Amino acid sequence: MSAATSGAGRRVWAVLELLDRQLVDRNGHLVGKIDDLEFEIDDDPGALPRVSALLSGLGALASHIGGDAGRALAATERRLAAARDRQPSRIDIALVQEIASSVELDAARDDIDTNRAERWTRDVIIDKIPGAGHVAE
Amino acid sequence: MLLSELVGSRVVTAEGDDLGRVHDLVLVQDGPMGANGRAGLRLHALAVGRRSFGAQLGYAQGSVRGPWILRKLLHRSARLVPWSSVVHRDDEHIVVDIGGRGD
Repeated sequence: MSAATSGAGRRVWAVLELLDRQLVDRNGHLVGKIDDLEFEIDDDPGALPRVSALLSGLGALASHIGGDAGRALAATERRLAAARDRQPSRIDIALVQEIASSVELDAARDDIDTNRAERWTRDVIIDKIPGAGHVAE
Repeated sequence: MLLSELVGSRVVTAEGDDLGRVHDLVLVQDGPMGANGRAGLRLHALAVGRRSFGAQLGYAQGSVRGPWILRKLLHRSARLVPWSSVVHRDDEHIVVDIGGRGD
């Protein structure tokens, strides 16, 4: 977060200013959107919950639609995700460099969990196509 | 705990008064320093009640300030309930003990 935007006590509206914001890696590549936030709650009674991670992906998206329909969809998605061992991509809050019209991360695209689907597609499908090894030549 | 578990939940007082549903969360960057050397974001309050058109555009939160005519028409502060007043939470409800402190 830049000096202009990271001053202590800065107020951030989670839904208005974070949800659906574009995630950008340190090289300017688009790496997904924020679909949910994860909070950590300390054992200390009276402690305020802290944002611990940004979540991105279909599982997170299903759970922020809102209302009864959103909650039902989220519950269904959680059950399906658990059955398939699939969870939303998780980005530790310590990687967040700047919160503005987009959210900049201090990491490269290949090191970020949101790139999981792209990596899977490349490793499992694209690389199996005859001639795929010559793509970069 | 996830944001999605809070947004849409119905907020009621310990006396049973319905304050409406959570439509946004107020985070403040005043937590302990993280591994990146920056203060963490902490959850200070729940914005409850009907999410107005002004809130959807950011006028109610004060995030959007112009044009001034729209700010005048659409600025109506969201009702905030401090997180410290939450006494119970389940899948459907958040019970708060505001004792007249809700903004």
